[in-house]
Amino acid sequence: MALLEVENLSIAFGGVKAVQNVSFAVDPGIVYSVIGPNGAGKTTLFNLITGVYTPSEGEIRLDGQSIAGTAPHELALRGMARTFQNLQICMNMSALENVMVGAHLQLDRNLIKAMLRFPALARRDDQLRDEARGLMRFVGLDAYCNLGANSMPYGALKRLEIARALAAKPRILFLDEPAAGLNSKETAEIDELVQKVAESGITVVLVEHDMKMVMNISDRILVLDYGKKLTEGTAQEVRENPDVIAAYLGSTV
Amino acid sequence: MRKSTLLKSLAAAAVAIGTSFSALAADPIKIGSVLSVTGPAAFLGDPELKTLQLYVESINKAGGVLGRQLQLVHYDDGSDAGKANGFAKRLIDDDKVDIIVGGTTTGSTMSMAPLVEKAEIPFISLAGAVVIVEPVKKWIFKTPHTDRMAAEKVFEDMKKRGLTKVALLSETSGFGASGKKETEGMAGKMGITLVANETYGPKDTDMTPQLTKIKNAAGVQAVFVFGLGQGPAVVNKNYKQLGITLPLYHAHGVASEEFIKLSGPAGEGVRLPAAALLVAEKLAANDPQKPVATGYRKAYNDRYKEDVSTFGGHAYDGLMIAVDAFKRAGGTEKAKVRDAIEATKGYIGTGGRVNMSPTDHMGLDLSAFRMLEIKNGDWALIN
Amino acid sequence: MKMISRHKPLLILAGVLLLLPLVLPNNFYYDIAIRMAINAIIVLGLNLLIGFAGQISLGHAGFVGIGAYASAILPTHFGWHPLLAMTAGAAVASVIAAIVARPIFRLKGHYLAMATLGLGIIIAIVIKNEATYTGGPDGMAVPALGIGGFTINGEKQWYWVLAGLLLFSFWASKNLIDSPFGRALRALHGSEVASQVMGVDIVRYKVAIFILSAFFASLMGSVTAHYIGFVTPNIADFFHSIELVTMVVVGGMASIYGSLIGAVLLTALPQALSTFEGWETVVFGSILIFCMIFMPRGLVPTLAERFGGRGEDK
Ligand SMILES: Nc1ncnc2c1ncn2[C@@H]1O[C@H](COP(=O)(O)OP(=O)(O)OP(=O)(O)O)[C@@H](O)[C@H]1O
Ligand SMILES: [Mg+2]
Repeated sequence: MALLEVENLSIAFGGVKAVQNVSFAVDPGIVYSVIGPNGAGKTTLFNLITGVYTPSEGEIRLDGQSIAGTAPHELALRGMARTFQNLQICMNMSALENVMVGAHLQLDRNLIKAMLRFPALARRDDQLRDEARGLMRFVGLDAYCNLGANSMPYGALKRLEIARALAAKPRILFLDEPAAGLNSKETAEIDELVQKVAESGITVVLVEHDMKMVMNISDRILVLDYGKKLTEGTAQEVRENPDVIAAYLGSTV
Repeated sequence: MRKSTLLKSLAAAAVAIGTSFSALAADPIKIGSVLSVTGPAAFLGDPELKTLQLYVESINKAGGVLGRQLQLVHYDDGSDAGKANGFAKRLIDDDKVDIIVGGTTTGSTMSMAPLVEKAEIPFISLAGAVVIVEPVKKWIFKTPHTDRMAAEKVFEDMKKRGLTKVALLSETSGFGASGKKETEGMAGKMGITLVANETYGPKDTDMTPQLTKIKNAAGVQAVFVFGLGQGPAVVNKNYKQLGITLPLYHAHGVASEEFIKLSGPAGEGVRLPAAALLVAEKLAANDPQKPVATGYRKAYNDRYKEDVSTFGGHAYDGLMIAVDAFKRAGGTEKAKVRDAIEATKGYIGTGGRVNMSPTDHMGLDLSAFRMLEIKNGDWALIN
Repeated sequence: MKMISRHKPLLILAGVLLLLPLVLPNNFYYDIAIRMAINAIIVLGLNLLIGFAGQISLGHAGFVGIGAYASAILPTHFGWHPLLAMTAGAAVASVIAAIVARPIFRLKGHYLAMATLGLGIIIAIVIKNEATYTGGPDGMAVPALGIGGFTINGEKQWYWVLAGLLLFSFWASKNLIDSPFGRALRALHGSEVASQVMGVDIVRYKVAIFILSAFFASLMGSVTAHYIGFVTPNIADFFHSIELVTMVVVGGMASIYGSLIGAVLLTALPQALSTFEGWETVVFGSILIFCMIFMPRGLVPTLAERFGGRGEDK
């Protein structure tokens, strides 16, 4: 069974039909990419699936159960995590703490116990700190562990988002343009990182403009244009689709 | 060279003079005060402070008390009783004052009360409510009239005119609420029936609904309004507009020139109880209060170029009672001063004749209030 | 080693509180220290809400008032034990906070400022109007706080009580900030959407911290009432709310030490300025304006940055 199924999904902002009648399915363990020109509705699609927006029409199913309109924090509980195209880092916290927030749901969140610093809670927190350091290392940010997020460069913050999302131990991870604004060396590193994540068994849904990277790592690709699904298939199929070439690749290739 | 020796000798002389002065002069008598000079109660606290400053100065110029100068130590509680409590502690523990004259509002006074009782220091309050002196607290006295006395004075006048069925209209403020309670109690005692009992908010600008109800109350013969500030003047206007002709009384809280101005022609014929101070010049030549009232009025007017208020008068009385007590106690020993205040007899002040006793720490009787009527845009004494 | 460094700030504060009485010349200074501690505890709670969670309350004095009047009314009119009254007050404040906060936090934007402003004003009005129980604007006396035959009496005893409470609050606040709960709280301030997708139920956290700060405000209202022995509606009024917010802002938002410094300074300042003869309000205002212009983030964060090291509270 598909891990994620999207059926006839639509949302409109005023007159703008940002996503129209989009359907697709993501099988577990694959890298699934969503591509399309600027304003095609990719981020909006992510926002719909992760509960940030409520769809005006359509169905979203995770493990066969409907999740359309479910609040983001409840979806997190069910194994969803994501990063943001426009960075959503908590600048008022340290890098490490940002990662630790990712593990929020695995911790004892009791207020009273926290104030009185119950030993079990404190121990778990120390343990988590080490785990978070491990994740920072995994995404290549060892150097930034003790820094405030507000003193990190852009490229590092992009990875920090990934580390934070990984801290949640997700089953399905949505990455919204992880390589945007990065140079080719950095992009190659992100490419590698995404592959490592995928290899660890996490289903990855990726939005990315870097075609080399997309074609390289995607098992399947969904093409959006003006909020509508243009086509869907393997890298090979997409590359050869005349509509795609006309509407999207045509202008660049 | 020459210059520096000169400076040195000057400095030496200054030190010598300074030390000889302080050696000569006895320690000053410290009068502590916490007043609401700013905040909502500033209209009370401001004239109180000005009065204290004025008279401490003039007493010092005239040689002080018992050969010692008076020193006024005062704090502004900003009309916040919580702050008054803190400042009282400062007066007692840090400034080590000999007496406290102050406490502009009942709230401030009552928040200081437990402290002065514990520290055993005489305290003359300038606030109105009966609770300050009832039950009697050993170290606490007060100078202003109470709202209970105002109600009694009004009812006394009504009875003289054969009016016993009265409508009460009171403000929902602290002053009005306390007045309402005391008036209700006093009505029972004096055989007055309250045939209507209405209230209005301190910021209301139209009392027509309440007055209409009162007008239609069965058997109503007179109306008594217990309020402060603008409200009572609005009542006067609405009263005339509704064509009500029943005798109209107000409480002592509006006894000021301002009230006449605010009411305009609608104020004609309205009566209220007030301290003699308000009509100082109109008092009979042989009235014992005349010299005190006119004297205070003139001194205050000359210095500050503004009208006196009864509130400043309360501070005047408080200071004078304290000074008198120091003299009779022959010093500042607190227990003796307290006993002397309690033994105050026949002191004539701006508020009336004060006769304190172990059971009465205010010492005023009904004679302290004069019944006034607005006639031709001015106060007239009613006998 | 790690233990010691973790507890260093707590030990320093304990040391200061322990040694302070050696330099306090008389009860008046004890009184100021006590008021500082009371304000500091309220401000610690309020800073969790304003500085750490990024939500503003303009009516916190209302909660202080609820505690104060619970401790005044319940023992006086209904014969309750003061400790029970104090608990009841804090419970009522918490419930009111919950009722107000829940619908507000579902809306986006700064509606809480308006709602709390209104709430504070309503509480103050109720206290003023229900004169039969509250004594109206003139206030009412509060019985002493006795615990099992022992009555807290005099500034010196109260000082130690407050020193203990302050130490505890300081410790608990630090713990909270450095816990999963506290991180979630700061995260939602940093980015609501990010914290949401990480599983933070932001409405729940905002409501919880609002309730917590109301709870502490109410408790300290009770303590104030018992300590002073008298309470008036001023304790619940708008100006007191603003005073509390000012302490947070001047000391430094999202700074535990800032809360302490803000409370200490703004409690001491009016006393220090009382010699300015009617100009104290002007001087006071000028100092605040100066602070806000030159240290918009508050004293502690600004100074911490200027003199090396990156602040605290991480
Ligand atoms: N919250 C919103 N309110 C109004 N319009 C929106 C909103 N979010 C997105 N849109 C509009 O929906 C359309 C799709 O936007 P979206 O951000 O999903 O595109 P995208 O494919 O992610 O583009 P990009 O490659 O530039 O990131 C755009 O026209 C955008 O202006
Ligand atoms: Mg996008």
